[in-house]
Amino acid sequence: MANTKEIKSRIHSVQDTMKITKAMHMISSSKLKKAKKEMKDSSEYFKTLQKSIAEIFQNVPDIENEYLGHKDVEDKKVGYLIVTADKGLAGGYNHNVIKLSQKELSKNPDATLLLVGQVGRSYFGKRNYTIDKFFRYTAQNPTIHKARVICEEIMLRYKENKLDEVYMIYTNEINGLEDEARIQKLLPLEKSDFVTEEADDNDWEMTYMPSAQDVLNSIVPNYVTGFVYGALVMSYACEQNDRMIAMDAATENAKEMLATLSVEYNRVRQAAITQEITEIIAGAKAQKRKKKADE
Amino acid sequence: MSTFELSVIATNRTFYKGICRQVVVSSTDGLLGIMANHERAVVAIVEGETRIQLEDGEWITAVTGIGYVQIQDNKVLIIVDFAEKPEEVDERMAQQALEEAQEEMRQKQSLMEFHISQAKMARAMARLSVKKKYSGF
Repeated sequence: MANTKEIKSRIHSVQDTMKITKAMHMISSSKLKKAKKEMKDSSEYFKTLQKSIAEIFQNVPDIENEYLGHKDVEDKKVGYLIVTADKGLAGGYNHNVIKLSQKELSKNPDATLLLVGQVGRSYFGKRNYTIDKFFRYTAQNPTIHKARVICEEIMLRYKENKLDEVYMIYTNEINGLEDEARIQKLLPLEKSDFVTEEADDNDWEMTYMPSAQDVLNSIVPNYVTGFVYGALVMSYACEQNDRMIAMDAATENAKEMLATLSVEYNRVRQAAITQEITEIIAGAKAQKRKKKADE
Repeated sequence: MSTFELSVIATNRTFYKGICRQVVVSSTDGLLGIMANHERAVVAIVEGETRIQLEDGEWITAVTGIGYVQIQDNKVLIIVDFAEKPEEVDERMAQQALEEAQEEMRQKQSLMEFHISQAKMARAMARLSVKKKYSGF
C-alpha cells in the first residue's frame, strides 16, 4: 500500500484536474448558451433554404448550368470541407468527424482538403494529405462573413475546374443531447438529390426572372453560403455541448476517485497510527519488564 | 383587396412572417412588385430595398441583401442574407464598410478578393441609400 504522502499528492493532483474540468464545464455551458441562440436564429433560415431549394430544383428545367448535374470527367477532383474544433477535450466530437472523413478519404486518397478547426489541421497535416486551405479562427466564432469567404474559396476552385465535387463534413444535432458527424454534397447540385416522394403534383411551369440561368447563378452561391453558415453554427453548438458533457463526466469521475482515495488515505493513516501505538506499547512494556528485572 | 402569405427570412432572423397585400423587391433588372395570386416564379434579387404593404395598407421598408424570391400557391418566400429596417441600419458602420471596400478595390487583389470587396461594397451602398431615403422625416 502506498504511504500517506503519496496518496496525499495524488489527491492534490486529482483536485487540481477537477478544478480545470469544472472550469471548462462552466465555460462551455456559457458558450453553449450563445451558440444555441445563434443556432435558433439561423435555424429558420437553414431549414427554409433547404426546403425551398428542394422545391425549386424539382421543377428546374433541363438546362446546361455549371452548378448542375454531373461533370463528365474522368478522375474527378474531389474536395472536402471538414469542420472540427480548435481544441480537443470535447468527448467524441472531433473523433467522429475525423473517423467519417477518414472513411471518405480512403475512397479518394488524393482529395483536396479545406479545413476549419485546428484539430483537423494538425491531424491531416501529419498524414500527408493535400490541405489546400485552412480557415483560421472560424470554428470558434462562426459568422456569415466567414461563411461567405469559405463559399467564395470553394466557388473559385470549382469554376477553375480545380475541384469537380465538393462535400462538407460537419456535425449535426439530432436532439439536445446527441449529435452525429454528417456529410453533405455542396457542389454540383444534382436534381436527383432533391426529388422526393411527395413531389408528384409539382410539375407545373415555373417562371424564372430574369432567366433560369441567372437565377441559378445567383441562388447556388447563396445556397452554399447559407448551408456553410448553418453547418458552422450547428457544429459549434455541438462542440460546446459535447465538451460540456465530457467535462461533466470528467468532474464526476474525479469526484469518485477522490472518494476512493480519501478512504484509502484514512485507512493508511489509521494503519500507521495503530502500528505506532503498538510499537509504543511494546516499547513501554519492554521498559517495564527491564525495570522489574533490574530491581 | 386580396392578400397573400409572406415570409422574409434572413440568415440571422425571421424579418417578417404574415399576411400582406403586396411586396416590392429589388430584382436584378430593377424593382418588381408582387401581388396576390402571382404565377409560380423564382426571382433572383440583389442588394437593395424591399417594401411590404400590410393588410391595413401601411408600408414596411427594409434593406435586404442578395437572395431570391420563391412564389408558389399564393405564398411568397423571400430568402436573403440580411434584412434590416432603415432605423436599424448603422450608418457609421455602413459608411466605414463602404470606405474599406473602396480602399480594398484600389489595391491590387486577386479575383476572389475582388468579388468579396465588390459584394461588401454593394451591401454598404444598399444600406446607405435606404437609410438616406427613409431617415429624412
